[in-house]
Amino acid sequence: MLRPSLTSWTYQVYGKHIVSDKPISELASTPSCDPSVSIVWVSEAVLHSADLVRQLDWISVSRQSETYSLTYPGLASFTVSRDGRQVICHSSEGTSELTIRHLLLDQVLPLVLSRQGASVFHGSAVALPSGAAVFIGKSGQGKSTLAGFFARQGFPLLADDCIVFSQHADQLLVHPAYPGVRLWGDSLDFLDGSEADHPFVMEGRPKRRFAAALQFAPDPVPLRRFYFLTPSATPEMRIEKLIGADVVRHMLESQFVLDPQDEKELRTSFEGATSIARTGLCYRLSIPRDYARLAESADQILRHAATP
Amino acid sequence: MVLDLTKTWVASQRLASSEIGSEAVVLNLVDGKYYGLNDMASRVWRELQHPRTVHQIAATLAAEYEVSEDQARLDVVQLITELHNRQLIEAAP
Repeated sequence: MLRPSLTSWTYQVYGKHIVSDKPISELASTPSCDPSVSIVWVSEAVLHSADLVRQLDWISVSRQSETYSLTYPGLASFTVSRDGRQVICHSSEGTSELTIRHLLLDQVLPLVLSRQGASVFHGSAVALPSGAAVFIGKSGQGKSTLAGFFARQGFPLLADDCIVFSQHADQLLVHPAYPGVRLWGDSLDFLDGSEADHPFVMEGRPKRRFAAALQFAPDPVPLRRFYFLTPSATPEMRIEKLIGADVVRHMLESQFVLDPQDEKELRTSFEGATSIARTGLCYRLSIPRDYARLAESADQILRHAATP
Repeated sequence: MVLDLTKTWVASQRLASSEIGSEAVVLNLVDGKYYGLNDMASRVWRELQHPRTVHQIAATLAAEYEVSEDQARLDVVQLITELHNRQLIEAAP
């Protein structure tokens, strides 16, 4: 599927090596190796006859005999091999490379890794002294703000947007993504004092990337807590253990799955979710929606994560 | 649908299931729908990992939950009908 290319850059992200025929400035390069994903960039769009497998407001996914097409209308499309090992990025006219890199890193690669059998969730994660704390929740619940706050206090950031797990012996490891959290203006103002100093994640969208002054975890960290952020019904912070079927339900709602019609991918995703649910490390977390109380919430999380 | 009480039923092949504590969780791989089963339903689900008749499952439940076999049979018929309607079980060959 790929075209030959004379120049390539190798990176590590989400615990995988990737090779690209264009540099990806958000990632730190690594020595050449056998990559899990190969990425080629082209300017022209490719039309396929395909079966639509999912249609959302911002993306459509269709399936051909050997590939998937992921289309972000008006922005870009990506052709992904069925085994998830090869990606071709097609930019639409007028779309900046910044936007395409954001779509590639934060949306396409998570789906590609799901295709390869990884457990991939939408959320953020930080490395606390007791292990990795993962924050999952719907948009606007404060996942990135919480991760950014911890990172600002010197606890290394593991990921924002995409969390990849792997099983290593009897441990579940959380893999580092790449430096930076994506924040709304008010969160950035609170965390760094100045919204305008930080680049937009992509053109035409309000979120900005906050990366400077944040420590980043270079290596995988064993899972310590899996928090599901939920709206707070009271002004007080609450942490409650989650057990049983509800844990898996929350996880399935937060997972990246490229082809929900593919029984093998669906089964692998389900097995990933249930293996995390069985750890007994899953909690429902409600924090006050008040920046002035974020330090107090973070302190309680820190102490909660340190308890057996 | 009126259930044929003489048939033998078994969990469908086209699903993934697991146990989280005492609760069974099931994902239908055909339509992507997810189900969490309560304590008694989870017990029935464990039985259905192998071909079983309504009468066999009801006898097991009656012994374990200290209910009459008639009451257990009513509960099992209701649950098996629901599982069948959701394509989570199929008639065993």
